[in-house]
Amino acid sequence: MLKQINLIFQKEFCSFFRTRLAYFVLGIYLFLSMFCTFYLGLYFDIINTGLFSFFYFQVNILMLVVPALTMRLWADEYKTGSIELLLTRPLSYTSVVIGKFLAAWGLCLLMLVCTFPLWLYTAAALPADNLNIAASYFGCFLISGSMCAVGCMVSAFNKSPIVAYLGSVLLLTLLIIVNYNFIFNGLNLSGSLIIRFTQSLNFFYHQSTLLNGQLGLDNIIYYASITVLTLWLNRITIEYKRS
Amino acid sequence: MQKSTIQKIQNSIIICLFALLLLASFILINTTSGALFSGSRADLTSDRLNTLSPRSEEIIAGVNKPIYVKLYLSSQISRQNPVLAQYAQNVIRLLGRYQDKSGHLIKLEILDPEPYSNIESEAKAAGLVPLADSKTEKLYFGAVFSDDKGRSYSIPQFSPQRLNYLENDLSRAVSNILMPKRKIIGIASDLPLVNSGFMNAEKKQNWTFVNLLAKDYTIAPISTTTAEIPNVDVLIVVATGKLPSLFIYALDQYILRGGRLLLIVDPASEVKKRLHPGIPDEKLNLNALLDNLGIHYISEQVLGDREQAVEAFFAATENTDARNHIYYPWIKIKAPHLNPQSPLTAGLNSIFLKSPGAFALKDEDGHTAESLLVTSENTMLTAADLVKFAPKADVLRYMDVKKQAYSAAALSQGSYHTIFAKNPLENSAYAKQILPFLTTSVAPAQIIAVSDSDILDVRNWTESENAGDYAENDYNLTPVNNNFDFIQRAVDFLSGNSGAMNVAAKKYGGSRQTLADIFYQSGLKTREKAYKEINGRLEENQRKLDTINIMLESNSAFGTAQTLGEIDALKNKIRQEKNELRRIEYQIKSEVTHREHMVALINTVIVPLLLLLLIAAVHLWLSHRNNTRARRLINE
Repeated sequence: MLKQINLIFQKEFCSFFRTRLAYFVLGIYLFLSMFCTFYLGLYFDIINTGLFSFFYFQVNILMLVVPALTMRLWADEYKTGSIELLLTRPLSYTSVVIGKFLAAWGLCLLMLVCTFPLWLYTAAALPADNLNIAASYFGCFLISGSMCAVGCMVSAFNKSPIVAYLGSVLLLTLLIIVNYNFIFNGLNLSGSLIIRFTQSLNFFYHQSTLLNGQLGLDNIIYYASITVLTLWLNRITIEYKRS
Repeated sequence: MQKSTIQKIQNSIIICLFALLLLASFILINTTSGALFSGSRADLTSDRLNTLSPRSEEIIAGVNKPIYVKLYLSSQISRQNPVLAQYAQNVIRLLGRYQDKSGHLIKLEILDPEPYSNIESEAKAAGLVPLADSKTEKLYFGAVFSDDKGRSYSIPQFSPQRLNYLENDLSRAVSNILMPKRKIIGIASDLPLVNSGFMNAEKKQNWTFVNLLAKDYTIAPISTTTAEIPNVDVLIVVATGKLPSLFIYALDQYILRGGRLLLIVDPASEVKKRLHPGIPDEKLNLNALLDNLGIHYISEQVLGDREQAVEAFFAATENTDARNHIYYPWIKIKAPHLNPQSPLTAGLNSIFLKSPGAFALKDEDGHTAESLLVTSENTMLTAADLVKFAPKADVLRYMDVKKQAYSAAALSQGSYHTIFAKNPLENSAYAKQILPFLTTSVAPAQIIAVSDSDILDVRNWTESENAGDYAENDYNLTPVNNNFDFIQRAVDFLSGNSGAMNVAAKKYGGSRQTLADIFYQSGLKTREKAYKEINGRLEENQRKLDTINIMLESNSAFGTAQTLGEIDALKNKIRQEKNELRRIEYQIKSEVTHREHMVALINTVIVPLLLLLLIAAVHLWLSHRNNTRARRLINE
């Protein structure tokens, strides 16, 4: 199984670079991240020991960039018909789904690593809170993983990469902006059990907790469960379509 | 219906059911993990910003009735200002911690004060201050704590600059609601601490530390000519010169009646020197009173400390250039010289004193004296007059090394005898109007004596740009040391509000700078000499002008043509010097802006391009290697 996953991972990861998509996405991501950090995030004017200016925009940027990575993972296979070729090979559906997902997630990791020069510069100029920054990077990595999984799932539904991209962005936007607390805010239930339950389903709550240097098991479980759930749905979709 | 269609429908139903099952399990897993683990998180900030200190937990443990926290947060803030949006999340999360720790007795409610709404009016009425940068509409970010009895405490504005003090502010608000009664603090001083208009008639306001104390206590100014201290819970006396004998009698009797006194004496007050330039003062006359408390005041001597001294600016002289140099009478007292055993100083980081006086302690029958702030063994003493009037370089030259530690603050508590052999007012008109003369204590008293009045000056404990003698926005102050914390703790301790004694801040100034500040400081460093020289000249001329104005106001000089000419000349010089300073500041700011643009450009364009080139190069090299390998295999 691991061999199969590794095979698919290598194939997909290399194809990002062969098709120049990786360069395009990396370039856009780095430009947007740095632009937001320096020109919208008041990088020079706030106490940036935890790189707040950078991490504040990461979720929004990843929400736009990650679907660009995942849009063609399945949609292209359907479009070109190579899905038949892929699925008739002696590979399990699960390993194909995981392999493709890991390739996209791996590229996300590369994207985050490419922003390390900013961390280095900040740490040289300021007494940076390196532990906090490392935790925030870990948070971004988890968030990008769940976004990759959502993107893969949406791509599996479509033949057109453009539709897959737009669908992923829409779904991620909904996932991020929907704050279930609003439903109960008018009822003045502050602090009650129901608020705490709904809070644990809010993407924004987990995201802000992680990016503020607070790591809890519930955050990891939340993102892991989104990833597992969407990858499972991805697998079912492939299986269903194939049948 | 065909069999295959039925099969398809069945499959679809199964898949839908399966998807619903997955969704349900997703909700179940996350709500359960939220309920189980949301209270226990690893705090991955080096300053432990997300962890409540034991002191806060103690305060929260004392909550036994509901406390309602209304957080007024304009929704526009998150759209307009990412920094405030980020900080708002910090505040909400920390308040959430208070809520959880109190078993939900602290009830948090987040309100959006939309313009012209009832909630906005409510926020205004509660004393919340709109954010300064809101142009078209007023944006609010503050909180009101209240209880069922209608008591309330407002935090007018949350400022990101006070990140390190956030927990301190919240715990203080909670403890204030728990406080049974608002206590009265009397302030008597020969400095214009309360509602004064000294030298500047339109600027009649309290010193910043008084405003901050007024959040928790009722402040009552007390005259230094009174023969009897009115009924106050704590008395703060600041003496930088001779006090009237009648007032010393009042203090003596106040102590014997079990008074709570924060006595600040100063043989060489630098803040007074700045405010009252050129006016000589008579020497302190509180030695007998202090001796009686077991605190021997070393008359007219100023402390220096080689180990704990900080740098000061030395003006240019005939032989030397202007420079920064260690100045022994300016002392930053740090642990372990802040008594770790006393609740007044435990957990504090540093206290900055400017030319403090020296105390030597002695325990006597009936009362004890305990050091709070002590110098190191490398202590020096010098005459107070030298510090007041001689250049700093001369002060260093004439400091005597005393291999002995002295106290700069002490706590004395117990019973005392009067310092007077007999009632000094026996045959005066006052005798019948005031309480009878006591020769010995009728109740134990508590006295905290501090030997420096500069500890109160906001310039010595904040990095706020507003910090003058008075700070306009007290809620925006960023302390750089614990001077105010110490004063606040002293007042809390003396007033019996030990439950409210403040939570020490997580970290102090200096290391929490913005990059713009760092760029500005490095730009300033290259022009430091010129800047300080002009600034020194400006201060000198301003002082001369103030002295002439005071003399004119007090009628000790007449407005002759020569005096008026002198005033004009000084004003011209001051104008020129201010222009020069502005020019230097403009140059530095231009440099800072240029540097910021360069850093932004390099990080936004050049670094990403270089990284992409590097990745492309690695990709090409790997492809080339694989191709070569493949070709070799084919050939073989």
